[in-house]
Amino acid sequence: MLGAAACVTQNNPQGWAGPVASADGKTLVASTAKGKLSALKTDDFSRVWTFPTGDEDPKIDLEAIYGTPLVDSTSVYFGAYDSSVYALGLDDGKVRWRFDAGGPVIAGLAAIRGESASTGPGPVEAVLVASETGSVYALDAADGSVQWRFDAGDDVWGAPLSTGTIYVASVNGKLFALDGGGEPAWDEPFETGHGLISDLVLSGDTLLIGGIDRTLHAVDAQTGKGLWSFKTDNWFWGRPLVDDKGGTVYAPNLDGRLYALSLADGKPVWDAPFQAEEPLRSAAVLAGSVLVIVDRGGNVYGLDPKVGTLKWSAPAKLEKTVLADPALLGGKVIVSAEGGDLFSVDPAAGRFEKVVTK
Amino acid sequence: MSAPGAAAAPRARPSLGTMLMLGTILFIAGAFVAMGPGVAWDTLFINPLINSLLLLTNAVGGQFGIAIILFTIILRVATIPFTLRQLQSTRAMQEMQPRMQEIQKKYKDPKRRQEETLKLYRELGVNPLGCFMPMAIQMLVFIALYRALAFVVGGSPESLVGLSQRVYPWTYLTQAIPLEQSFLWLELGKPDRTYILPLMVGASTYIQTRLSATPATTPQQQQQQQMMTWMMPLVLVWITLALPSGVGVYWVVSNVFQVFASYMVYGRRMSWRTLLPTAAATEQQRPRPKPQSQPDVEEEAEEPAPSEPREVRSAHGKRRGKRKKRR
Repeated sequence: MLGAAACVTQNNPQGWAGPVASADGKTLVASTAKGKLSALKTDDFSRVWTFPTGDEDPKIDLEAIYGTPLVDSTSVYFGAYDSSVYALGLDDGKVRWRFDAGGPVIAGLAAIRGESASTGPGPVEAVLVASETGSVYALDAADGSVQWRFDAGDDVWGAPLSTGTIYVASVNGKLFALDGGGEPAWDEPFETGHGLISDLVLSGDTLLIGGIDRTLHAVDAQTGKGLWSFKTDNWFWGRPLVDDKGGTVYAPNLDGRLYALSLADGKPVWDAPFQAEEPLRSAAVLAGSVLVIVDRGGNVYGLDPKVGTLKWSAPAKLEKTVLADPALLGGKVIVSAEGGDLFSVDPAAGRFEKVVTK
Repeated sequence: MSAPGAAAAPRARPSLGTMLMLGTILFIAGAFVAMGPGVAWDTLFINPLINSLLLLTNAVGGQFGIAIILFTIILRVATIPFTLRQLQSTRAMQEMQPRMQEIQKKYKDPKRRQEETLKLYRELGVNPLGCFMPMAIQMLVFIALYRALAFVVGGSPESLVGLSQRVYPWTYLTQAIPLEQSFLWLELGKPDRTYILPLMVGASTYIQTRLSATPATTPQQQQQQQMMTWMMPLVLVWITLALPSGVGVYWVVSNVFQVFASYMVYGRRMSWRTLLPTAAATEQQRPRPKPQSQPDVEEEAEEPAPSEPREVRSAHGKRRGKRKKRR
């Protein structure tokens, strides 16, 4: 019996925060160890700072970082599994403010960039934070004070979206649209009855979100009415990628398939979805003419975005668990593996090198 | 050379329980060979258990804590043939202890002692493996359940990615995800930091171990049992402190069920006094009266002296009160 009991272990959170580059392209912010965030110089990947340092008093234990950090010209904002949201100086990694979200923060943050609602680079005026408690906060970027709070009714796992109107989805299956003051913008939220868990993506007037109901939903951003849906065998947890030029949605699924769908009507674009060896949690990225996707087993695939076939002779095998979204940096794809290793993948050749080791 | 009496003892036909148990073992072994150990383990044990838990959670209105309790009870009821068989074997072993002790006393030669012990097993229709095999099967089920619980209660977003690979693609099942983690004072996906649940696990394991212990035949065995009686609960308390509380809930309910099953089998003969460490020790150390009719025999005697016939209940529950013809 003791042997049986010993077979069970606690599943400790590891985190899957993806790397993100600053607007000037000189700094890359990435999780380089479990529960740690680092700023790296992009030319040689040397560390500028790491947070927490371990010397803080009282000691800071972030447990894990899931959401991709938000970076502007002066600050880095991120939420952690220890229920806190931090604003750090981009140049020194010092804590500018800390906010207690009341529950673990799994979702990435979203930026409110002022009246013009521009999504381009620039100072962030407010930060949108959603926690596992279902509370969505708009925090003043300067000092972390609460501007308003909205109750989504259940855990929020996918990053909210701010484009003037704010969109946030919950695992209770409801997708809300809020105005700048945190008040509902639609008459009724869009409802699926199942968990909506992927990051939200907006293309034109079409909102895309996937969930535990094994369905990718396209929703009218103005009215909150469903436009089309696409059902599969497993959950859509990875953020969909929209190629606006081609009007194609690339949606990774935990069944290990990457689906290419028409943004207009949700019909499959490829003859067959691309089948990876392991589940796909990470978002796909378009690097020039190569569509790059990484599966949980660390297999990196370079695909032809038009037909969904492998462009490389074989997938690049990182031999690490990868659940984080990759990022584009100077034409290379930066992949963050569980534990903190960073890889730089050449999308043209399908070769990779490890640029940061824990 | 075996005694005529023993040779004449009829071979017991395999009972329905034995056949069921053997059939189960053969089926599992066949699946492991045909499918490979990993796939068979997941297909036969882990995935059905995970999906059953999700199904039950939906059926009880999303209350995952209640689902774990119900699931434990259902599983224990389903494995009751194995549990009863194990308890009956334990009881039979307990009832033959006086005669086992006689053998221990009479024969110093280990080979001869073994022969006589086997003879006694045959005579009373007791299978010494009767305790082991049901326990082994239950152990398999329990390990699978622990693994299933670890997947379902999660504790991290990564575990949910793992769970997604094991949930059958039925809408009704996925509606249960994510599971309601709060139950009473517990967060089912996290260890209980109030120490209440670990203490409950320890206490219920102690009671269950005490009540289902096979009597020791030698002082060494007795010492080992004493150690196990204390070690098991203490180690489980320690393990529970690091495990998701959902596993601890399962353990407590399972122990309570086992105590209940013991009561059903032993009935009034179950002495609750054995739960007290001092009472139990006294009970085990108390010298047993020698049978009146048994004459003193020399050690290493070629043949055992006739002993007073005892009424012994066999593993199959039949009373064997017949006086045996002895030479």
